[in-house]
Amino acid sequence: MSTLFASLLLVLLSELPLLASTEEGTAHHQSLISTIAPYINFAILVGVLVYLLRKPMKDFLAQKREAVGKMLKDSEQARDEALSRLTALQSKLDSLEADIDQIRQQAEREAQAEKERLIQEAKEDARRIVEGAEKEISNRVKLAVRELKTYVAGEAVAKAEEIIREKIKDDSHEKLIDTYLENLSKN
Amino acid sequence: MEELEHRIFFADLFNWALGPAALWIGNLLGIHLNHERPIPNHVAMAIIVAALLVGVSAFMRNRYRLIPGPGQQIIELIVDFFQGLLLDVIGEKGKRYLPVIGTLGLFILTSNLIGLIPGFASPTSNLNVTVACALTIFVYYHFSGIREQGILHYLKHFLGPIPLLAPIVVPIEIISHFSRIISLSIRLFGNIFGEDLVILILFSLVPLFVPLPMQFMALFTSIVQTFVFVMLSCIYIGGAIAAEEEHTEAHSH
Repeated sequence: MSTLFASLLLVLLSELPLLASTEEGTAHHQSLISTIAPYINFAILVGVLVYLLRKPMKDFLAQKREAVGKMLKDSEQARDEALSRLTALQSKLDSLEADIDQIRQQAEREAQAEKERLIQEAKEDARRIVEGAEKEISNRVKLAVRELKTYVAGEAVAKAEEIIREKIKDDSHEKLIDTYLENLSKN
Repeated sequence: MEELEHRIFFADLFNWALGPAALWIGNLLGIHLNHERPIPNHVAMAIIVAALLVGVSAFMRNRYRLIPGPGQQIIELIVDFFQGLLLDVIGEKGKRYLPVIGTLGLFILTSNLIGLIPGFASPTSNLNVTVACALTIFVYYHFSGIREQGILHYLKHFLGPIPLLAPIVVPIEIISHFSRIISLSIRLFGNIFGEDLVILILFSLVPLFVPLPMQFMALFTSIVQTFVFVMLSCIYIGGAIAAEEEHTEAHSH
């Protein structure tokens, strides 16, 4: 603004020789009013414009400035958030190797424990199965022996009966009966 | 028109400082210049406007801040306006033409408005300046069209859609394109010269206060005429490169 007024003043000063020549009655006759009228008109023009536009323009520019400021603040906040997330992710990434090792060791430990538990269980099962089988075998053997004894006894009785039937005739049979009856009467 | 060719301090200063050089260059090129004032008012004023724009741009460039001050905000508003206009008229490709359209728009606006300041004159109230602006756009939009499409493809559009009608369409197209120079330059010149003339006439009748309404009107017409010139320039550029986009779209389908 000051530059504008300075240039106006410069132009006004440049017109002074013309004013002087007016006084001397030269061909370029210009009255004082017609020399300064453009400046007065222009000053009024600028004054009215400034009066009319100053407040709305100021408000508009302030609003725009505020909007830009808010946008910048939001961007900075978003950048900070992104940076903190990046940092967190970076540290997580850095500790990831250790975490992986830890998880692997834990898994190995658990797997070992599980393996041992399974082996123990299998051993126990095997022992139980063996015991059961032994018991079963023993029972079967006893049963078989008993059956065998019964069978052998049966066979022996049958054989003895057969021998006796062959050897003992009717007279011997009667003799035996008589002897049995005699014993009975004695008793 | 001669009435408006009054003495301007800055033009006198230019003639005093650069007049001999201008005369020497004129003689070298075989151009006859006025020996008393070899640099006319409109040339001097156009140089002042250009220098002013370069100066303000250079000054503001070094003062760019992330949160803009009032000056930077106004410049951003102007740039946004030109960019928005280009995007609306030409589309996404329009951003490429922002330097030319922006420079031309700012030059015309400043040239129109500077005439309202006492001791200055509007360069655009002289037909030479407006024709120069129109010729710049004329050459530029043809150049853009050729750059986008290649010379043969671009010239093919002058033949029209039906080859049989080419003998009729070609002269019409040529006249239509050359009439753009006349329409652009005469419209701008007529409006600015007209308003300057009315202000001068009113001033000669009653110097104080009476020209003021016309000066306010001149403010309005200065902005409107800049907008019209820039808008038409965008449309011409858009028209010159649009055929290529249609062509590309047709191929993509």
